Amino acid sequence: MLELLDLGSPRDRNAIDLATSRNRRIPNARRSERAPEALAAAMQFVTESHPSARLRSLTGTYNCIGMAFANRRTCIEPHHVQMILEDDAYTEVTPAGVVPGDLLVYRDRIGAISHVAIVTAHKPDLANARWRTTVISQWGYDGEYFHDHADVNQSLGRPDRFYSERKQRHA
Amino acid sequence: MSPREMMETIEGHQFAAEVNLAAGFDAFHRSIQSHSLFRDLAGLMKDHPAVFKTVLVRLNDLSRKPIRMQYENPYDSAMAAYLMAADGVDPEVAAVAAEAVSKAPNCWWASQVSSGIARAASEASAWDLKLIFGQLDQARTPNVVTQHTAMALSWLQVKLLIYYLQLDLAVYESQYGKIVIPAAILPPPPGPLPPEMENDPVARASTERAREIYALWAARPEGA
Repeated sequence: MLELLDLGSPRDRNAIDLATSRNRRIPNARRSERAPEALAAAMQFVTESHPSARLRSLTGTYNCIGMAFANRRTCIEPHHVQMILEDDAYTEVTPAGVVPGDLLVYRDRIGAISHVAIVTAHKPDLANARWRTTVISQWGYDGEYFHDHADVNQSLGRPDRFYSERKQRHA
Repeated sequence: MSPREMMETIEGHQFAAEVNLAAGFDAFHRSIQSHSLFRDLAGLMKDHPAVFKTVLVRLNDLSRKPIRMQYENPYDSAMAAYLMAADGVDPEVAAVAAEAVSKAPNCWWASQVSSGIARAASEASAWDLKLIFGQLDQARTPNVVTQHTAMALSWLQVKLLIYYLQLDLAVYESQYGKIVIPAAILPPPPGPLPPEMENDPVARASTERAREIYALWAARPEGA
């Protein structure tokens, strides 16, 4: 019964039709836009606390998962990400195999999915023996930013694993 | 900082910006709970009835404030925080406040906190289980549940009721066929225990039992 009444359920007028490749419904809900002064304050907070993050778009109508899986149209709770990854045949990619367009999943301290981002650049940083990965993601509901994959607010968790839905990966 | 100053800060853009950096409701909830301003105000509300009353009055005022309808309610995060704090002090009073907040337009987090309080619906104690009934209002977005009736059942009655409901369902299904639950509305399985409860033997046993019940229930073909 709780799911029937839940925000984003099929009975929620604010939800849009959205399904995985296996036709399982993805619960979602659209959020009203925040006032310009609220968004400006949000941008100021993010850019002051993370100076290297570069704003792409300032809106609060979708979250990171809506950005990655619903073309920026709606909000999807993080606990639905696993279903989407399974149904849409995402597979894990090792850091060496990552290409722009792949997905980076973040997890919180108890291991739950807390954030997702799309890779925009992935290059070896030979001097520091690491990969230098730039991603794009919606920070909560506070705007969409290009940023280093590890440079996010603690509320969004820590980068965990890369995934891709690419087909014929070895072709 | 005085309670009044705390509330002014909680109602400001900076607080909203900080707590909106959460991809989902659980993270938002944790973000609020760990925010120093929230903790300070919630502590004062517990210790000083006058502060609790001040916050409730303010919550009621905010829920009635006119807003620019093309935008989200500017007091969304503040109302969510006040409701959560009120729920920590007195859940029954918080349920009344949640009813007021559920009528505030264009809310996001506050709506979810309010629905959560309304849905808590089943208040369990050592003596009984209180069921609170409400009606889904689909004319509002996001949808809200308006509560109207509460009923308390002893645990003996709960056990008997489960038996009789199962019997009624079995009779119905034998007459009209199995009721198929769409996959999209299957309740999720019980989640992991929060770290602070991992060493609590009662919590662990309860979670284990919940998982067993879910496994039995979800494994039935009609639940797939």
